[in-house]
Amino acid sequence: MLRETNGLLPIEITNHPHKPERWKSNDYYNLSNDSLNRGYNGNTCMTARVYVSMKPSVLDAQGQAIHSALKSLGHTMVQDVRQGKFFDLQLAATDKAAAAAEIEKISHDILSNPVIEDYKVELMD
Amino acid sequence: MSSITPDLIARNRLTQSEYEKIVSLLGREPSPTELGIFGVMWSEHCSYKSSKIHLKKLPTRSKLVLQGPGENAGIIDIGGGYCIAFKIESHNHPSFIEPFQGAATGVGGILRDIFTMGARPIAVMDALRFGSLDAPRTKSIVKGVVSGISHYGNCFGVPTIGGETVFEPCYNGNPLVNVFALGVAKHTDIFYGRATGIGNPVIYVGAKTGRDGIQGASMASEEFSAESAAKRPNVQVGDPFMEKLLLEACLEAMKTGAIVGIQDMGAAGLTCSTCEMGSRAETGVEIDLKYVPQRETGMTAYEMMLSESQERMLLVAEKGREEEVFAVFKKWGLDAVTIGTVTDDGLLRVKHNGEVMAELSNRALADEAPIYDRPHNAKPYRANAPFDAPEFAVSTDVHADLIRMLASPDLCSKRWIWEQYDYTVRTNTVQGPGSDAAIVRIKETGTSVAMSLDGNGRYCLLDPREGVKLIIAECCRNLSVVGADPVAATNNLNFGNPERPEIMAQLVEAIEGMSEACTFFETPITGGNVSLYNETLGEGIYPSPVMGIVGLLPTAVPVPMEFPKAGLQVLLIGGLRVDTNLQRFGGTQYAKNILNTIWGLPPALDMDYEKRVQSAVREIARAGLAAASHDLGDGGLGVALAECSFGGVGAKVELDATQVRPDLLLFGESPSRVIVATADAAAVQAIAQKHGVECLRLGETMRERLQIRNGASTLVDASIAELKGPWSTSLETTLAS
Repeated sequence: MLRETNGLLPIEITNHPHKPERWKSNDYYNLSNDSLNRGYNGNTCMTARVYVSMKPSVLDAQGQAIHSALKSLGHTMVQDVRQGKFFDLQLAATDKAAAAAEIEKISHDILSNPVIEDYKVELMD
Repeated sequence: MSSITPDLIARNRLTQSEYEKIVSLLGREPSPTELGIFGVMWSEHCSYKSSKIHLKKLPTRSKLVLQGPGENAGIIDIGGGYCIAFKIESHNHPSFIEPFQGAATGVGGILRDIFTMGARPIAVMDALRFGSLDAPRTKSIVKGVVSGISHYGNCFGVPTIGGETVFEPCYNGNPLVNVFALGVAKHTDIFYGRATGIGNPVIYVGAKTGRDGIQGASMASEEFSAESAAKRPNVQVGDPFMEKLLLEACLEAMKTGAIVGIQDMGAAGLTCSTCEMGSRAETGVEIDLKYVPQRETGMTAYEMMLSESQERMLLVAEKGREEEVFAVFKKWGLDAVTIGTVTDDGLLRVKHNGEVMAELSNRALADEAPIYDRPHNAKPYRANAPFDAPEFAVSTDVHADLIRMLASPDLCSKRWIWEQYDYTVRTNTVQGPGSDAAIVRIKETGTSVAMSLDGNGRYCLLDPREGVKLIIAECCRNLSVVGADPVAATNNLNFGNPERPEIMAQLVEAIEGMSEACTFFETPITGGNVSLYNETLGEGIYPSPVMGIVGLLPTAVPVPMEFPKAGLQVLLIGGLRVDTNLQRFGGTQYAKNILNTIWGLPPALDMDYEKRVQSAVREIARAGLAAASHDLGDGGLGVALAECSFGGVGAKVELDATQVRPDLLLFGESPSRVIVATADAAAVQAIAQKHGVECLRLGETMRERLQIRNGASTLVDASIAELKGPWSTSLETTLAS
């Protein structure tokens, strides 16, 4: 069962509109496209990406489960797995410093649980 | 030059005089690692140094008690070659810092305490205390705690079958999360946390060690301050699926016969498990940290010894049979490694990188912590509660009062909480949440075990001694209502800072009251937990002892709380017992919700009468005479009658107490009263008479309405929907707003 799934997964990912290579590039968001690049009130759009993951010393049960699955599938090279998530936020803002401050607050108060998670903010324009 | 500075001593939460005692016990200065080990073992949480001399006053024995306090859980014989292990434990401080994980690991910790004894966990209950629902953090704490409990319990596969939840402003900055767990085992399968057999291997099993919750035990022994926020990384994260594997692996490994002792690594992790197992067996334990499975690199001996990573166990196996144990753990995909041996020198010796990092007497660590007889010659702290009753007008509309009370956070339906729990997993739940007592069936013996959790901070604030007695009486009454014989108890003592004499006085009074009532009701204490320093910014909680009492009964169709049909006689076993002394009304839910205040004393309890009421009620239930039965507790007669009506069948009640104020009549909380609905009033009356208790006819059940008349005046006349609506939606609506 696992083996089958393993065979299928890469195919799905290749055909998936959100294919991983594009996650890394800004052009996925058509940031050059003026129609998308302007907020409702005419402000320039910025994108903030917030990465959230467990703090290094906190148990990452999901990461451990992935790691043990990898081990059982024969990927013995992998020594550890820590997983996390990211959020993309489209901002109607012009002042980068002010946007950064607000995203920092959002990341701390809402997107992450600062008791056990770390976050990192990237602003892209 | 000494490496031990006063600052380091303080950071390990030891006092100067405790440090001096360590130096004199060792005959030398401790290393920083050793100081850390003493710091956790001598913390309030692990050593009970402030409560120990008073806990000795509690009754701990009966012919059914197989194991009393001092082990991971108490054990009671239930006949047929089987026994039950149960205990309650708090996770208050972690649940304030990180509600979800704090509550989840609270469940995980107590489950390990149960299966360490060789018992399979079959039931969990929770006593929760939150701040006022309009305080800023309360809603998020409630949601976090409840989903943390459901996450851990549901994933692990143990039913959460009951509990109680109270809201009071004194818990705004210090919620209480007390988790009770119960497991079942054969007599022959019980295991103890003892490192016996010189030369036997000491084996580490379960999850890997990380830097989780370092010094959690000593954190739990401090008051919260604004700086606590900075201590946040102390919180541990649990993995219930790992715990399920650990449970199955441990129970299977125990069956090999190769295991001689086992203990879970809870508070103070590796430190506590090694020295306690050694101390109980009067042996030494030598471990080498290089063998400890580690999740992170570069951990120091100090960090490994103090880590509170979850889902770990320490066991001692018979020498030469390690492979049998390893094979079981390998099958379940868990780490199992020999990390040391049992020695004959009584010392805990910890090696790391070829160096001896600690060499300490197990006895000194586990049993020779300082014992404090803290001053308690003050009057117990009462916050702002006066002794005398204020002038308050006789209620002119008890009908409206009743509806308001039913919608209050303490009395309203807690369905929103318990519907998040799996309360039927394992298919043995005879009676689940929302009833007087929860019941699970023990298939192996064909009998059942009933259990009830109860606490009342308001009563205990007004009189800690009498308050505790009332709690124990209520717990036993809850069990009697379903026909169970109360047999044993576990206690969770949640109090403020014991260094304040007026708080210490509360603790001493409560323990003495508990001793008296547990002796009287023949429910010895088989274990429990003490949680002190429950204060935030100098503001203490109400004294909040929580009792968990278990009872035994034959498996039978459970007695419901709700009236099943119209035309049944409604009787009040114990009688009206209206107390017209207004001083005794100040701790009631009416005083809290309608008058917004607290004063006086808790309701008066006559333990002898109470016991007779319980015997009568038990006999009525067992004889199958009760079509419905419900004890009168918070909110008194009015609230109890409403609760009995929520199945859609109400009652027409006619009282003849016209000389009594209607608010006292309906909402006084005198104990020793139980409503019974029956088709055979004469038989019930005969049983009551036999036990020498009053049996008052209240009226008759009828469809869809609850009417309460007193003489010529109508006190309540409501459709069931009118009463049930606010009761059933109140909590959910408040939490959603």
